[in-house]
Amino acid sequence: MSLGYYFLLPVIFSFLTPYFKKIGLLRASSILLNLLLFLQTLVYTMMSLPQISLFSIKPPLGIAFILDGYSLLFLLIFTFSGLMVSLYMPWFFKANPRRDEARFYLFFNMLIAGSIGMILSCDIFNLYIFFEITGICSYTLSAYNKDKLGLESGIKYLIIGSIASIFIVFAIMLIYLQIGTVNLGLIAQRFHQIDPKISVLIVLMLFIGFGTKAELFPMNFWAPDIYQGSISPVNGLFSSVVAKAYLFVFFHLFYLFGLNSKYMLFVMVIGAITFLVSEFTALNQTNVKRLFAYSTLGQLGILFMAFSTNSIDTVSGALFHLTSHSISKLLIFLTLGILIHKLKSMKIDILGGFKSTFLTIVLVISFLSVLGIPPFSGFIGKILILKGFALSHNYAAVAFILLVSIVEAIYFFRIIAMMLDKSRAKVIVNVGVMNYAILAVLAALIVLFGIYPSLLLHYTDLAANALLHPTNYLTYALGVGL
Amino acid sequence: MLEFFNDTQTIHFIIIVGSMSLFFIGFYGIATQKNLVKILVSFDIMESALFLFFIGLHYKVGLVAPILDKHLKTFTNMVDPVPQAMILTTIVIGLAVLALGLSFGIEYYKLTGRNDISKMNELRD
Repeated sequence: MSLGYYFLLPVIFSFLTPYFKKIGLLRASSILLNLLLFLQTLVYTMMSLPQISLFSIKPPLGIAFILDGYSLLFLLIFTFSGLMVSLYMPWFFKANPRRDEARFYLFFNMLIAGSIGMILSCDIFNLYIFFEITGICSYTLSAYNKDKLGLESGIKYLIIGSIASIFIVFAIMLIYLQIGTVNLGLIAQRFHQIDPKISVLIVLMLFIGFGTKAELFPMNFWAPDIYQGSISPVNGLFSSVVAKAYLFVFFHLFYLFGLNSKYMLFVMVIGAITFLVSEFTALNQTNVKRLFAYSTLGQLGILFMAFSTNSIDTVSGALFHLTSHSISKLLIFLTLGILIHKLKSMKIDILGGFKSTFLTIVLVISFLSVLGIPPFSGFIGKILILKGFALSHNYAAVAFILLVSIVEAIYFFRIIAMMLDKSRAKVIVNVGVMNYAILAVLAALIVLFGIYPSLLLHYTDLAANALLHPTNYLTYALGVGL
Repeated sequence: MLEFFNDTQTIHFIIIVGSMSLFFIGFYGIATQKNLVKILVSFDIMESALFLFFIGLHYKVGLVAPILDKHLKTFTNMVDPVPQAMILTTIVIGLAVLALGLSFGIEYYKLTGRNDISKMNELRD
């Protein structure tokens, strides 16, 4: 078993996609592929970490994939989200018949492959290639509806993405000019030797490049537009896979290059501004997709604040919050897909205009989880982040998160009140059997992690340790003792 | 008269000035142009500037291209091959993104008859 399969299997499948004559077979094999990837990840959870897969030459000269505790958690999230979305797609295409269904599956599986490649690869140039693969697939998926809105979001995303990638190429070139290597381990060892002026330039370029893609404040004006123009399952993927993959790379490089002491306050302030601005903008949105896009941006702001703290407790809490946020947002966007199809509208009123006890329950669960209300998983994540900030005597951050969360509570409770309001005209929505299963699994996970956080805490502690103390990772990345 | 150019420092200076001015031409294009095709072309100019910059700074006077033939029998006296391999890959990626962007532009033009990005503002609340 090799880590290379995480990339190879989806890519081979994508290239074979046009040859599937029967669309049912394509759907089934896409589910099977994502199930395989998820099962492989479950196998890796039982093995000792880190794991390394070489491709012919050993590092630092050759290419390798490394799986450590930090990437394992993200791998679990990505393959799980991929499985859920591929299970959801047959219903979606039955409800909205399309002739170019194969195109979706092609880019969907490539997107999963690219995101996974980005978190596994241990040299910065391969990371850039996976970054571009993920980028190109997300541009195409956001333009999947070839109508005005879809194409507009595709064009916007492509232009923004190209700017980000130019900055990243420039940073990689400067790193190579200064250090003469692209291996992450060697760069991490020698990064402090770079002339401080050039090092500031490199950090700035990497910050702009990955910050743009990870939807950080001054560069995130595009994100709600992209969410509005693309189809709901793709929104779910953007929110729970793509944004999280860029966040992974951002903090992986942040801690590997030892930037935490110098730039911690900067990232924390930017995260706080992201949180504040997004939540206030979300207050007066009338389009559901834009509303939840702004809510995603706000949660990413909290995560950026908590990740940059350099303390195991806070980072572990942030990873918990990230996992629970991924599950909740996937649930919300998949449900929105059902509602938008039945009610033929994207206005916020559709959340008050449907009648289905099941959907109401799962939506309320996910809203309360995003808000951080017990007994759901978001509560554990938020309380761990707050506890971490309090332990490091950063009471300003605690107060800030709590105060801005009130703003978040305003619009979420407004929606919940709208859903429970009996005086509104309701359309009866019946969910397919498969969707019952998917949404029930997602909601059950939210409740499960809320009641038994130790199930997930094991992995988040492992991940936080691997992120903050990458000694093991570096040994493998340098190819010592292989 | 042209011995002047047989100096690594001079060549690097020319390359830095040239590629940076190309870079800012591209940047100016992105910042000022409204036509989608022109913006994509500006991206290409910016990328080319980066490629020139990177390849150029790895050239030193007296070194040859890293291809084994009658000039190069052993792996000495040649420029670093890694940047060239990296740039080749980056060129391919840039081409793919450019093609994708143009195809989006064509589809959008077919639908609306416009290619002005300042008028692409239908995604709003």
